[in-house]
This record gives sequence, C-alpha cells and structure tokens, in this order.
Amino acid sequence: MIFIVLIFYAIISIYGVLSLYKKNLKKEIPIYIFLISISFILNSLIAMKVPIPDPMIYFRKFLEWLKRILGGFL
Amino acid sequence: MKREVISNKQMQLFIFIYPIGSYSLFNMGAGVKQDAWIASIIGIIISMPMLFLYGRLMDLYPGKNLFELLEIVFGKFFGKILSVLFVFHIIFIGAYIFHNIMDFIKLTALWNTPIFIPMLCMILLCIWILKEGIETLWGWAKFNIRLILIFMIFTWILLIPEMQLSNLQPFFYSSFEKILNEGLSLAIYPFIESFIFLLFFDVVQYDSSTKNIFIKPVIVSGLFVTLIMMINLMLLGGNAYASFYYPGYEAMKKMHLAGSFQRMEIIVSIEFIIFRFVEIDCCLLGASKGIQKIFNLNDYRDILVPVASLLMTLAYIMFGSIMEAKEFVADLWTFYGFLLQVVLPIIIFIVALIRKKWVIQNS
Repeated sequence: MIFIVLIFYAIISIYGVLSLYKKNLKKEIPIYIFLISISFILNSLIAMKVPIPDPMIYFRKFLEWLKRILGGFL
Repeated sequence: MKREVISNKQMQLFIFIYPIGSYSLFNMGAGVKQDAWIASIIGIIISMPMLFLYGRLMDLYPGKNLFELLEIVFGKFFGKILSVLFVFHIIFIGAYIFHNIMDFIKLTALWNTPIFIPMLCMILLCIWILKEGIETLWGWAKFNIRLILIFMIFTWILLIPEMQLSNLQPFFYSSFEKILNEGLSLAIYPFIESFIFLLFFDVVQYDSSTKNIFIKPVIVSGLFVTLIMMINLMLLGGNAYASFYYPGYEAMKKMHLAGSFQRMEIIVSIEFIIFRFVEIDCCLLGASKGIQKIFNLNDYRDILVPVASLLMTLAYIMFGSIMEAKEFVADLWTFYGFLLQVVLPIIIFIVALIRKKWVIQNS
C-alpha cells in the first residue's frame, strides 16, 4: 500500500513541480512541495497503519474550552 | 493569468445550490421533529441580516474578495493572520462536506469498496473542473440543476398519494424556544454558510445590484428546501424523520406507484452527490484563493492539486463514523459557525466601514 502512495505522490509532485518550473513560477514551487508533503506524510502514516491522533479530538476540546470561556452560549 | 468573470446571476446560482445539498438528504432540524419546517423558515429570517451585511461588506471594496479586503482593512500582517484562519475554516468545511458524501456512498452503495477510491475519483474531477475555471463549473451546475429540479418535482408529484398532511400536525408541538434554537442552527448551517462565497467574490462582475446578491437566492433556496423538508415529514412523520440519518433517501423508498414504479431513491443520491460536488468545488476554490493571497502567488490553479490533496486527506481522517460527525455538528457546529461566520464578519465590517470613512475624510 505504501508503494502505491509513494508512486502516486511522486508522480503528481514531479509533474506539478516541473510544470511550475516550465512556467517560471519559482515562488510557487516550495509552497507546492510544502502543502503536498503534509498530505504525503499523513497518507503514508495511514498506509503503514501507524496510529495517528484524531485531529477532531483536539479541535473539539479546543472549541468546548472556548465555548465554556464565552459562557456556554449556543 | 486568465481573468475569470461571472455575472451576478451566475453567482446567485451557486448561492442557490449551496443549501439544497444538505436538506435533500439529512434530517435538518430533527430536534423539533414535525416542527422542523417552522424552524427552517425561522432560520431563513434569522440569516437575512447577516446576508445583507455580507453584501454591504463586499460593496465597500468592489471587485475584491475577502482575503484582499482583509489585507486592505487590517494591513498585511493581521490581514494574513485572519486569512489563515479563514483558509483553515474553508478547508474544514470542504473536508466535512467531502466526508458526508463518502459516508453516504459507503452506507448506501459501495459497502466493500475502500473509501479512498471514490474519494480520489471525485477530487480529480474537482481539480479538473476548477482548472477549467469557474465559468465551466457554473455551466456544469446550470446543466445539472435543471435536470435535478425536473426530476425532483416529478417524483414529488408521484409521491403525493403517500403523503399525509397529518404528519405535520400538531403544529408547534415543541416549545417555541426549542424551535427558535433549531432555527438558529439552521441559519448558521447552511444559510449563513453562504459566507464561503465571499472568499472568491472577486470573480463577480460588479454592478449596483451586487450588494444584494445573497438575498434573493437564499430566500428562493430557503423556501425550496423548506418544501423538501415538509415533503419528507409528510412522507415519514416526525419521529421517523428525526431517527433516520438520511430521511430524504428513506422518503423516496415510499414510492410504489402501480407496483412497478419504485426505487427512485437513486434520484436523491445523484442530486445529493451533484450538489455536494459543487459545494466542495466552492470550498476548494475559496481555500486556493486564500493560499494564493497569503503567499502572493500568481494563480490559484498552480496550487490547486496540493490543496485538494490536503482537503481529501483531512476528509479521510476527520471522523471515525457518521455518529461522531453528527455528534460534533449537534454539539459545536452552531457555536463554531457563529464565531467565524457571524462575529468575525461583523467585526470586519465595522473596521472596514471606519477605515473607509477615515480614508474618505483624509483624501
């Protein structure tokens, strides 16, 4: 599974970066690589069945905390 | 960079489509059972001042989107911080909508298919259509909405024998306070969520009527979705409506016309996926425009693929099950939406108004 993820991200990243390079959009390349590397890392962890913390737990806790601070309205 | 332009009417089509997706399938306003349609009407009324404010806000700086406006009003630094906040918000909404579709597909059709396969197919189509431009998305939406509306009205007519008006009674069975609360939730999601259109408002060809762009489509759409809700309630009854995850889908199963005309729930499935597809595209467009502005990039299309990939990954990991998603929405969505779509825009509007007056006075 990890190989499929690797190949998939390698293909789309190389294609994307090369097309940006051809268009002389050098400012876009690091942002492109940074954004795609986030999903690549997350998808690799999922593919390798590494337990990743549920992002919604922390977000939920944060919102509950904020709601409590603001008086629990709504 | 290719300049994209759509007219007011074209933008209004997107605003009209936005609330229909969730209403066509989910048990919106289920907390008040058969009074859900009253809550929906209250929701439309509550959302009006905010929609009016959104129009006025964009009227202060015509031809700009919210990200550009934030930099003008709050300066580069604070403008970018607020932009980051809204980019997270829009990616979150997009991922939630995407997660909804995938849950639905998994629960009703593709039980054994790994969910990332339909996800990948859908996100590739989203990227493709946005690469072609918002005009293409509009053309696609316009073509589909006509067919969907015809089919919806056709199925409603065929379902008339199954409808029971008594399922809507007694009116005001829940307390008015409860209906009002539910109305507020419905105002935040989906009516006030039309906020997402501010994020790519620069594509609208600006004229004097643009400041009221939100009002008409949301009223028409609101009345239309209230009708959908009433039909679902008349077909299922308040209790069943509140207990099903997908009452719109279950209601269609009631059709057994002349013994052979049945299994029309496929229409609801197709309509839900098409509407949600447009919603995801709008979120993706908003998020890409935000990142384009934050990093001063040339064109949002250049970073469409990584943003779409991020949205898809978040949609994959965000909720373990439909129960978790429902619980989150019931407990916190109104509060979350209220902060980001009501409180923050009001603050932005006040600051923008003061700044505009100050600039006029000093020039």
